[in-house]
Amino acid sequence: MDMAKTQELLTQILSQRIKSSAPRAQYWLSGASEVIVFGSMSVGLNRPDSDIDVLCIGGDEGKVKTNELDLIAVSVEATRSRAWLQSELASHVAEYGTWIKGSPTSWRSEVGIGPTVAMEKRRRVSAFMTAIPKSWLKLEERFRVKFSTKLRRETQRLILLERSVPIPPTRILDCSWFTISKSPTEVHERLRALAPNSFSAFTDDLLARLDPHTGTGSPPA
Amino acid sequence: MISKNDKKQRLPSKKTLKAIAEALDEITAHFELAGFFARMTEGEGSEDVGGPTVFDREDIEVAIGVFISRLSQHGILKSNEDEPTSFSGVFESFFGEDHEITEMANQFEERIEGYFDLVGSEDMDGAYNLALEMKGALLSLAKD
Repeated sequence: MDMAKTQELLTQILSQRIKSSAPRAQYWLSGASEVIVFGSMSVGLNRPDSDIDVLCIGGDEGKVKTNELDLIAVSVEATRSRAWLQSELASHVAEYGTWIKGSPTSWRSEVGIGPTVAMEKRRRVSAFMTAIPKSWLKLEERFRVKFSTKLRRETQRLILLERSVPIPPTRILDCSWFTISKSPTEVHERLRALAPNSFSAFTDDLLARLDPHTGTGSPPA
Repeated sequence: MISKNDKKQRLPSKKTLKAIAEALDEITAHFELAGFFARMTEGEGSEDVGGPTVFDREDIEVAIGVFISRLSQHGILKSNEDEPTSFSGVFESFFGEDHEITEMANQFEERIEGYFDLVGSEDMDGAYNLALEMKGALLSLAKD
């Protein structure tokens, strides 16, 4: 599909989602100089139940989240800040976003993942790996699937951020990881390295949920 | 507190109300311990003022997972994939969407929504107090 048709389709989907689930989101759309759809829908990898991720630049800051729409609004000034230019979100949007209003301004070419972003991701994955084993046995299987998937995806994101690679949409992490990973075992290895030594049963259960050939696993339904 | 209209709705049994209230302890206990797992905000000029100022959202999600799992394991919620897996969904299934307790559950979820998966201490305090209020409301209903 060519870009004009993609933009038209995304604009149509966004209008429908706003009308059906969050009319107040129109406020940020109207005030923005740039409206960008990102995430799975931007690259045509969405599922029927996927939400539409939207970044509005210009106007007031804010956010709207429903099951159908996830909108973040930032000011033009914010997109000039170092924190924004080095962020995980900015690099993702710059690489995978589709502009449906306005056109990319200077910030897009200045984006570069900063070292503190990878450090923060490492801290969070590590903290999660430390905290969750204490609750693991209390969780039903559906939650173990949910949290092991989250840990795996966050670890994949960490690996990419450490290489200063923009994070792709989640469907790519789930289904096409082999196309961007250096080795099918690197997620295993990283998770094992982050796992607390005193909870080997948890670690074994977690790693058993990963596909040994691709390093990923089936996402929760 | 609970309005007359709310009381007209068909409520769960007293045993179920008490079981939900007790399961909420999984969440309040997490909040009470959260300071040990969370970090101090780092940055220039920041000082240790005696507690964390930002919390990771995934920790709270695990506590909610334990809460729902406990209800399923005790037979209070049916354990199948069609059952609600969100905090507010649990209360909606028991009380309906307009009940005050469901409304408090919605407010709880808004509090822990956070920003880029980080939740501020004010929202954590608010969510903790809501969980306590919900427990009190459940126990109050169980006495009636």
